Amino acid sequence: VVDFVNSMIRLSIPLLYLALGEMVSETTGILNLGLEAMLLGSALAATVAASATDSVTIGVATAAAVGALIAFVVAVLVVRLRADQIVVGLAVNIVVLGMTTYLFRAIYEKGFPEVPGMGIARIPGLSKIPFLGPTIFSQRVLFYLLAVIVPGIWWVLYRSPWGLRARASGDAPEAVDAAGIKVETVRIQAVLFCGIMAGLAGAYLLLGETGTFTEGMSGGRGFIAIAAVVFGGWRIFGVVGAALLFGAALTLRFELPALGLNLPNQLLLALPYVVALAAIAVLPQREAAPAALLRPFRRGER
Amino acid sequence: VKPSRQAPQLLDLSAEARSRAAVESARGRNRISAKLIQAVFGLGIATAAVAVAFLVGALVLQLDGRSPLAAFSAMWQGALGTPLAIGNTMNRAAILLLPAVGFILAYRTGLLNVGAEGHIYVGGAAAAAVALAMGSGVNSLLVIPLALAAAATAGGALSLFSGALKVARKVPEVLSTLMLNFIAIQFVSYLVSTPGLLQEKHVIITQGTGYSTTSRNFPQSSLIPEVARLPRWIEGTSLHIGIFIGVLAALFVIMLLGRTILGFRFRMVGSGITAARQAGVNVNRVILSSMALCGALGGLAGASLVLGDRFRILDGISPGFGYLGILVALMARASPIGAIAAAILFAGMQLGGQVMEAGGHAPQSIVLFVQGLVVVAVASTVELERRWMRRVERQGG
Repeated sequence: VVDFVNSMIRLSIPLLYLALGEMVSETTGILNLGLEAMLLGSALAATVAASATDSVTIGVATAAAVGALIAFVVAVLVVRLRADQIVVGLAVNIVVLGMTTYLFRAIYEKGFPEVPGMGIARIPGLSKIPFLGPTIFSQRVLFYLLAVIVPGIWWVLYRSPWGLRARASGDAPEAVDAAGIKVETVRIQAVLFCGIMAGLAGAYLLLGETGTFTEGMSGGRGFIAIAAVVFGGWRIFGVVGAALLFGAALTLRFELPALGLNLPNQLLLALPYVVALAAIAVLPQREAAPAALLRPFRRGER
Repeated sequence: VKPSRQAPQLLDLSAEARSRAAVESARGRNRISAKLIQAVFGLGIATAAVAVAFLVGALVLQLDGRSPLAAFSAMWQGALGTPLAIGNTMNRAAILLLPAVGFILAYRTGLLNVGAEGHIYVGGAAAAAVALAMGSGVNSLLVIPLALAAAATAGGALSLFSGALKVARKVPEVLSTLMLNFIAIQFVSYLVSTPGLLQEKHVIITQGTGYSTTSRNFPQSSLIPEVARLPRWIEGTSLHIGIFIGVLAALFVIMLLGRTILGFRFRMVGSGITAARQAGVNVNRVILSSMALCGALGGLAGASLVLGDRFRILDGISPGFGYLGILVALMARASPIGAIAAAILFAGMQLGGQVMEAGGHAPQSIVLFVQGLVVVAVASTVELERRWMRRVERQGG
């Protein structure tokens, strides 16, 4: 059980970063389908930066910057140019898939790079607690950072002026505009935040888990994160719970065979998607989605 | 009448253009000419987008110290340079065109069905299963239509499931179709790697002089019999009737949407669910039919891939053809005729890209990059077109 919880948390971390970023973006009315692109791009950036400088910190920072860069492009397209959010998301995913594959091969023609790994940071004292010690207090730094990020997002969204603007931009952009606040600015900021979060997810995935970049390594995690936002009902604790649930489904792939359960490998690989789909399907029907989700804002029009 | 808030944005512009066309015809101007303006404008945007994307691609290659000119001419050779290449390009175009027109059909109904990849997999598996079950002792005229029908049914059923989830449980179809893609790929992988289902029976690999033989099981089915393979049009090339099926499907979608009551209902739901419901349309039924038809078209692409190109179903048979098909539809801005051209373009780029890579000119991945850029460029012109259309109206009015 300890192993299971430990690896469930480990595999949930990228999902948590992705889903929390996506939640903020969707709150302002922008569905960012380009999470996969941001994850892939930042994972490659982490590889390049960390192996070149032999520094995990620089790798993480570069990954976050690249995530933000891709997010900036997406934000300009969907917010300023009012391009369709789904179309841009799908297309950007393909662009970045092609670009990262190209760059990875171009940069590392001669072999895989040495990437410094993100070490496990055991919290002194706390990591000795039975059960909680080896599960919660023996993770990587980016996990502990969530302990700051989650309450931070909650405070910003629900207790700060910016959060009010953000939530209103997603539900009633006209009202925000009438109050003299630029809807477009709020939305661009939210998408940029989402990009940084996706960048951190990419950094964690690469420096914390896999250690090597592979083409298309995002493998649908971005889509699962979007499902987590829907299943979590666009509320922060719901989204955290959903990400942990889907992380558990990812973990089962490794845990069930270890328990001696002989299931087809394909079923285990499909499990996270089955769980995500089933979760959304059994979700009690409620109108929790931001009213202006997917709707571009134009001044003077409804 | 304002379109519903949920009206899909990409089409928003052409819906707007269409309403302007209607206004112009009401003013006694020629309706055809307004449509023509729209088509020419769309073509202009697409051409400019392709030009920009290729320029960016060329820049990347240049910065990488490669020759863009050599790379692109190799790509051209590989795409349309020889009769053999043309045949291969057309076959690939069929596989992109079918999901593209399926996506367009759903899109016009206001649905975002991104499940083409899954439809291709289950459609291909169903076609292979029928072809293998019927064996070689039957007539082509019997087995091919049956295999195609099975593929369409399988793809349609998968897509219908997403439709049912939307109607019954309000699950957004974008999410359910995406999730089902991953599930369908694993399902087919299971089918082809399980003995007794679709897996090929004892493959014997003979090594060296033939003394040592090993038996290994690949995740793939047996080859389908000759009678079940799509007929080739021109001897010496690989061109089969897939592209014919694809073009027929495009025409079918045009006729369906433009000339039938069902198609009219599709478009009504597409331009506003509330209005359609108040006009007495059974919205749920329309959503289900549109989803099923979309999946059926994607399933046919899988059949074309199995019966025409690979002659078996195997793990990983489609490396994202479904997603590429959706890009084709988006580049064509949801026009079935435009999709035919876009499918040929994207297919040529893909196959030409293989030749380009084999010749050592540039990695194939640049193709994916350029294709994505084309769609990004097309999508970013929404505002431009709105302003332009407004000016046309002011001048015309």
